Amino acid sequence: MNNIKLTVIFVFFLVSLTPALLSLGIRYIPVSELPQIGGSVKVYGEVTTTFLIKNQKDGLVGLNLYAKNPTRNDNDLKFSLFDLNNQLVRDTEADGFYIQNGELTKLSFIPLPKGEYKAVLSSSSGNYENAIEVYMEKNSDNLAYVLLYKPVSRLSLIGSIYLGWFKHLFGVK
Amino acid sequence: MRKLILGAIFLRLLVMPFLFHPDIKVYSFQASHLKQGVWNIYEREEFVYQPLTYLFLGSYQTLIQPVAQDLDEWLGDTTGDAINNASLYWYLLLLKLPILIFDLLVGLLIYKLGGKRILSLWLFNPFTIVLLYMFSNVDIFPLFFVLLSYFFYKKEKNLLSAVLLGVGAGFKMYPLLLLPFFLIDQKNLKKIVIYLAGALGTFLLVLLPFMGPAMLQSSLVSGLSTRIFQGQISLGFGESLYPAVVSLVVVYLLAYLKKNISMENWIVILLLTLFSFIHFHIQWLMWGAPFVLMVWLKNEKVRPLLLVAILLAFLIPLMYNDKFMGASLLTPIFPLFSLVPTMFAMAQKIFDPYVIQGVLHSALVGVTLVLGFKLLHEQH
Repeated sequence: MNNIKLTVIFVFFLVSLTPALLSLGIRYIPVSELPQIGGSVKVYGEVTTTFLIKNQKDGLVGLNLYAKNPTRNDNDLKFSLFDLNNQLVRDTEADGFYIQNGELTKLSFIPLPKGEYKAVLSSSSGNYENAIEVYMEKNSDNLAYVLLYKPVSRLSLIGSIYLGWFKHLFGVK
Repeated sequence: MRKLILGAIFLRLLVMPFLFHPDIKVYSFQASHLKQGVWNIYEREEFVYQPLTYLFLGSYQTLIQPVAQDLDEWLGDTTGDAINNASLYWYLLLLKLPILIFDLLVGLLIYKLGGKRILSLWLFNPFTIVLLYMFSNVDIFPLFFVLLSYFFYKKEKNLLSAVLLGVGAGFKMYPLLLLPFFLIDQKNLKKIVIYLAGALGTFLLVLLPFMGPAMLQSSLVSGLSTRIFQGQISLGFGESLYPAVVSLVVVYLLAYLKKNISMENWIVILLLTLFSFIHFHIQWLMWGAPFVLMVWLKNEKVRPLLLVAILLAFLIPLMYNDKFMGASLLTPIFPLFSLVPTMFAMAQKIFDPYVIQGVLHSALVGVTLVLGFKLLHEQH
């Protein structure tokens, strides 16, 4: 095969099939952009952060939040979800060692149906001096986070990728 | 011939609007200051390239102003929403147009130097398309002047060749790395002095109006000039050996001792040796691309090794812990491609990615050594 054929195939593959292939790497879809962040609060020992998640659709698989670990210790950041009867439905942990300062941290779990849940962030092994911190929304006391959902189906995701692309290309709102 | 060029342009236009590396937005934003009358960009921004890059891209933006409405707002938009801008594809096309023009100009020079076969290889190979239109850095501008300098050097127009090498360094400093090869090949001391004065004089002339601590800090002391000194072997008492410097000295001395080896061989050896010992940017691979093609066509026996070296040199930066070394480059098509894990992140799940990087880099050293040996045994 000569270089011309190879390059033509490469370019056509890049712009036509690569988007479909890359869709296989998308495990979750954030429901919105992350809000702008403001200050942070410490999570350690008995000091936890609690908030209510109003999950409006099936397939909730996690959330993204901004966290920092100034002392880069290996305390875990634990995330627990309770239903309205205070029964634990999901929990997961992020290893503190991999929490960079101010970086996005993903907490994922197996899919949850729609409903209201109480979420608790804790770090029982931490203390005030080496606490992991999570960021709040700018000018607010609400935790800055975004919910992550499992794509409904691979085919619908691929469809929405190409549809969105052509809409953008032809200026369709 | 016309079909070849039109086909190449078509392929490039097909990828230009849909691939995006944030570097193009950063340096284009900085260059946009020229329209607002800012002469010395170094006093305003941390501009890492040399003045001609600023002046050229700034002038180009002034020229396209009538067809690039709201471009400045987009360039200044630091929110994640910039990728969703309705005019994104048009902006990317416009901003990459100088790259396309210089890409074709390099093709023209290559054609003059080596004929239709090498032109076809230049226009139709996935590597340069990826480097130029995916990563979209400014390396093609100095590369054109390096090649033009090489062209006039072949025609024995030494002073013009020297001035053009200096102009290339006025965009980005790397052409100065090649200066010793041009000097070594001069016939007497007088010619060496003229060439040196021509190249360095032009380079300094470009720098002079911008010279100051800000420029020294952001432009001269960045990128390659610092990378060379990052890898070191401690000798104790605060003293260190720099493998990149050692390798450069060895290559220059060998070039002095073995004058029967062609310059394109030396350039390929030098750049591969340099990249073997530093943490390099993927776009730096552009520096040697035309010379690699010359060696490729001239020497069939080294092709397998050369291909392995090229693949390794591509693979190493793709393993960096950098979000834009992967699917994020296609975010103009679908912004959520930024969620697709990079090769670094994928490797992290099974093995230490830094070890993989180290192994690949070590393999590049080995391949470069053998390739260099083979290229040194080719007669001019």
